[in-house]
Amino acid sequence: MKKFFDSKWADQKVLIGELIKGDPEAFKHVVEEYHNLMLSVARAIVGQSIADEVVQDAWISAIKALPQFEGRSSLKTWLIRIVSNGAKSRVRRENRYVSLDDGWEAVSADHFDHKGHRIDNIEAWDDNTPEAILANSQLQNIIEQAFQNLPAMQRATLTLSDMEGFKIDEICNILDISSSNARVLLHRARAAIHHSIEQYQDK
Amino acid sequence: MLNCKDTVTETSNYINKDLPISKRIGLFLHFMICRCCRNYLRQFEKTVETVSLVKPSELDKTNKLDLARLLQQVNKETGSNH
Ligand SMILES: [Zn+2]
Repeated sequence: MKKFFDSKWADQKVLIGELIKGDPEAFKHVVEEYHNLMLSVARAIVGQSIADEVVQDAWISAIKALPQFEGRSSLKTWLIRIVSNGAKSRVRRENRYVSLDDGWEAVSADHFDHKGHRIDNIEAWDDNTPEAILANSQLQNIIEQAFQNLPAMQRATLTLSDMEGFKIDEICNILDISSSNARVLLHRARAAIHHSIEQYQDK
Repeated sequence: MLNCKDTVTETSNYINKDLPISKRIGLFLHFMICRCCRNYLRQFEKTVETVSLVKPSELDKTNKLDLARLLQQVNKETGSNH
């Protein structure tokens, strides 16, 4: 069922045409597909409290501008750009300050001696296939939980990089951070999730 | 020569192939000789792969059906202004 739903809208031109025509299913599809991603970007830039408002404004300006959308980028990239610009100007206008890491303290699971050599023993994990991972609801819950515990900037960086396939320089532009910050945030997010899987594997 | 600690902090950049060649070679050589860091690298790659499969997303209470209807309305009004 999901497959059929996806493939119906796989052609972006068709999707945009249907949106302009006002097909309710097309609207349901884009909201379902992109809303949480837009929210992730907004929460990272403006913080939790006004992110919903920023995303709603972004949706409205995107829909109004839809007839001018030329398809030079994907709809996803275009929507992200709109929400990112909206969030950035909101930050500037209101002088909002959102910290990169919200006082995040990574739990370091790694142990080294004074020369920086490992003193813990890292064993290989069970080699699970993607199918086995997706069938393992306990592991999925652990990952979900670890993800939700990350600060918003880390969640957005991880989402854009590892789930949506954006490159580091694109992520910098979207989230308005330096490339070294983006790299650090991505590494921290991955390390936190790695740590949670590691604890699960050790059981 | 890189030690294990340096290796850990560069693991993400290594998987992203986002490192100058000299650093990349340095890490590659460390992974050759150090079983722990090699295992750590594999675990890390596995983590990235697993996250992309599980695809966790933002917790959100928005009523998406209502939002879709609102946008449909906005579209209708935009269209009638042309
Ligand atoms: Zn090592």
